[in-house]
Amino acid sequence: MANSQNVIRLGVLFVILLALQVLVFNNLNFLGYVNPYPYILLLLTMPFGVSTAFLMVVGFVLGFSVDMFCNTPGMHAGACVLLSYVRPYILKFISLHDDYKIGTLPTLYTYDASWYLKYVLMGVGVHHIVLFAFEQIDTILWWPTLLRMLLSAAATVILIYVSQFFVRIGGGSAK
Amino acid sequence: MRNFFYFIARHYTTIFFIFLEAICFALVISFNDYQQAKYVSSANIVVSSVYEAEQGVADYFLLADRNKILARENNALQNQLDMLHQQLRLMRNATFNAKDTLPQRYVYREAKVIKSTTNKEHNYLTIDRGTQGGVKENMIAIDQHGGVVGLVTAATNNFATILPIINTSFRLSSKLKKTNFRGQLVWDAIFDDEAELIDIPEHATVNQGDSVVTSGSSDFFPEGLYVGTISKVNMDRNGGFYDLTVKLAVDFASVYDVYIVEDLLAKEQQELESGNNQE
Repeated sequence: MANSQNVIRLGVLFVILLALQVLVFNNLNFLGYVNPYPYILLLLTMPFGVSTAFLMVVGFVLGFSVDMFCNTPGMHAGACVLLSYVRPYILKFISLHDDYKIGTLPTLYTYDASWYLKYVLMGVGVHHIVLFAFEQIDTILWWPTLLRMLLSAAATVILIYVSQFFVRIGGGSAK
Repeated sequence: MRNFFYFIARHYTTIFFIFLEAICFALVISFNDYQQAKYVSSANIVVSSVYEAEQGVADYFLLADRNKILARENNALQNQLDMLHQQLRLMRNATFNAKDTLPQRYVYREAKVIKSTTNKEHNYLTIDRGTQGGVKENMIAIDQHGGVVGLVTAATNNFATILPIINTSFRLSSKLKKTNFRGQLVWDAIFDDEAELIDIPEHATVNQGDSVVTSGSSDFFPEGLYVGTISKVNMDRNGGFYDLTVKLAVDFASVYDVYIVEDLLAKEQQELESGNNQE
C-alpha cells in the first residue's frame, strides 16, 4: 500500500479539498448552473494498487463530509463509493502497455497529458452522473438538469486538470 | 456452507460496495422525509460553526451595504411609527374599550442567514438561531419586507435549517390577492427568483402584476403573507387551468436577514378545528 509519506500527503489533501469544496466551490453559482465538485481529486489521486475496499471507505467518509455541508445526506457518499468501486476498472481500461507501479500516485506527471485527461474525464463522468441521478432523479432527462450536469462536470475536469500545475503531489514519473 | 464462505471471500469487495451503497440509499431516502434529516444537515454543530465563521468573514466585507439597507428600513419604520402615533391620537378622542383589543398573536425573532444555496433542486438556508433562541420546527420565515422565505424544518440548540420556496419539495398553498382564487405554488428548479402557481381555474381573471399571497389553508402559514407577483400568464392546454409564473418577493440569492414567526395562538386554533372535526 501507500508509504507513510503518501498517507500524510493524502490526509492533508483530504482536509484542503474538503475546505475548498465547502467554502469556495459550493459558493460558485455561475449562471445558476455550474457547481463543480473537484474534491473527488482525492479519490483520483490515491495510489495505484490501493485496495478497493479502503478506497471505498475513504470515498464514503469524504462524500459524507461533503454531504453534511450540502444538506444532501447520502448523495455525495453514494457517488464517491461508486467512483471508488469502478476506479480499478477505469485504470484497467485506459492502461498503457505496462502495468501500473504499485504505490505511485496517478497524476498528470505519471504518464502523459492525454492519459491523465482520459482518466479524469471518466472518473468525473461516473461521479457526476451518479450524483445528479441521486439528487435530481425526477428531472434527470430534462434539459436544465442535463445542462447543469454537463457544465458542472466540465468545470470539475478543468479545475482538477489545472490543479496539477499548482501542486505536484507525489511528484515523479512512474515510467 | 463452505462454498458460501468461498463466495464471500472472492467477492468481498463487491459485497462491501453493495453494503456501503445501501447505507447511502437509506440516507437519501430518509432525506426525502426532510423532517428526519436533522443530524445530517447544516444545522449540525460542526458544520454550522464552519459556516458561521465563513459568514463572519463575508459580513466584514458587506458591512457598508448592510448599513445602507438598515438605514432604509429604519426610515420606513420611523414613517410607520409616525402614522401610528397619529392614528392613536385620533382613537383617543373616540370612545375606546380596552377589552376589545385582540391578544398578541405573532412573535417575530430576527435571525441571520449563515448559509444558503440557490443552484440546486433541494436548496436550504441555515440560520444562526435555534431552540435556545425560541426557534422551533414548523415555524415560518419571512424577510424584512414580509415576503415568504420558507419553513423551519430542523432546529438544534443554536442553529436551524429552513426549507425555502426554492426547493422542489416545497409546496405552498397560495391565492390571488384580488380574486381569492386558490392554487399551489411550486418551484421548477430553473430560476431562483421564479416559481409556478398551478391549479388556478381558467375562468378566473388573471393579469400580469397581480399579487400572490398565502391562502391560509396550510397548517403553518397564516393567510395573506406576500409571496410574489404574476409575471407571465399562460394557459395549460390540457387541463383548463392556468400555468402562471410568479416573480418571488424574496431575492433568495441575497437573502440575509429573516424573521422567524411564532404563532402564539396556533395551538388554540388547531384544538378548535380538531374539536370541530370530531363532531
